[in-house]
Amino acid sequence: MNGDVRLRVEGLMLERLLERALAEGAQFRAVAPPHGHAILIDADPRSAAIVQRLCERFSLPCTVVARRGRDAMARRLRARATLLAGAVACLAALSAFFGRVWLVDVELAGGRSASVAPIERALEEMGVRPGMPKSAVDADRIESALAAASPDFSFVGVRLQGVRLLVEAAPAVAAPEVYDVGAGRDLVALCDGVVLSVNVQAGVACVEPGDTVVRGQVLIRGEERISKEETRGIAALGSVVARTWYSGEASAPATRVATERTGRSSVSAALVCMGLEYPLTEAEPFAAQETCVETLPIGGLFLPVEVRRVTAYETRERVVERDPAALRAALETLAFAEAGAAMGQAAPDGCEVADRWIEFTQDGAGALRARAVLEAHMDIAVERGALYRQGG
Amino acid sequence: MRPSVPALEWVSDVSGRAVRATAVGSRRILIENHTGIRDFSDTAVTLSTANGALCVRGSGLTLCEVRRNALIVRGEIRQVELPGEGDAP
Repeated sequence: MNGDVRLRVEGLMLERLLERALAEGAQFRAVAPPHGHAILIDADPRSAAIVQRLCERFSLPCTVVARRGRDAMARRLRARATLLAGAVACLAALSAFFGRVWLVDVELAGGRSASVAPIERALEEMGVRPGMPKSAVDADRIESALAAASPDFSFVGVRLQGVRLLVEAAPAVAAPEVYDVGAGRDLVALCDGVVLSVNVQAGVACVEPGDTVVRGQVLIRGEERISKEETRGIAALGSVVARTWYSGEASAPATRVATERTGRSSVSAALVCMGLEYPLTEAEPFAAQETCVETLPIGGLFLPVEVRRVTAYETRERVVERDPAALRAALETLAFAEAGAAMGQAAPDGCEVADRWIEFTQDGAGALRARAVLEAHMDIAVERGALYRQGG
Repeated sequence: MRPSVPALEWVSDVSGRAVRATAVGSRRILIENHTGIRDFSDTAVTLSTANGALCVRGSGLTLCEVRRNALIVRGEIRQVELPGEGDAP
């Protein structure tokens, strides 16, 4: 259909009708040839109204077959006023929804981890929260305020993405320790070990590979010779890699006590009604026993009377061996975990585990004892203050 | 008063009263300056003009863009009979 309105007109000499309509200013998009005594006319609404008026005047049957375009849309909307109201309400709701910020996300940039609590607290204090209107969000102002309130972050960016307010923050990188050559200090051993290599950048090496050192021993002395007789103190700098060992222990009894029934049992019964108990049969108690209680209601749902039957089974205790493989595996896990914890405490920055072994012993009380050892290669040269921070 | 001298035939062309038929292939023909639809079926469309009847024959004919003095005939057009100078109604 080409026109906005398709009319079906019936009658004779319909060419005359078209002539009259054209004479009155009508225009037709298409006119299908007569089929029997009827033709189909596609026309705009104004021309269709002219044809309908002429048909009414000459008593010709004229029916509207279909409508399309703006005219048809307007008619449909007039017939469905609630649809229009619903569409308007929907648009208003969408506008209200998209006019607000519903998500406030804080993301860390730069691959470094840090707590975002200060940023969230600062956002809360500024009144930035889900549900606030977008018009109230001034990204530049929030950026400046967050940057001022969060000195632990080197960059804070704020941007709106639809209904989401995204705050990107990059944690600040700690400034490197400044090496002051004039501040005299020695480097001492963090823990006991056997020296593998010595790399002195400033100062004088006091140990060499193969030496055994103890915790607190001076490894690199902070001094520099300025003349044949005179030296001056400087900050020692360098690294001393040593073999160090960390051990962990775990022990557990090789046997366990198992409870088993002897086969003897006794049954006692009592009549119970509303907390009151009337014994029906008595049973012989055992020195060690397990009991099983059964309740048998006898009064139906309306009378709270029941028989409580208690079956006592005599038991005895027996010492049985634990599964040796499972026990060793459990002790190995515990011992290595303890050794790893000790190593992690001594070297928080991590170190290379060169070797590991475990040995099992049985003590006089029958307990199995596991001792795990981790051998690590690590730089043990630290300034003396680090020892004090670790407890002297 | 129609010009009788061939050299003045252009006068009737520009006067706008002479019927004008413009065919585009065999599927469409634009007819201007007709004075009415005389007869219409899917095999023939007859229009009145100042010089007589203009008839378009073919099959599956329909009228498109019908205006007061112009229209387009669509369909399989096989023959167009133009009015002669002496065929005035």
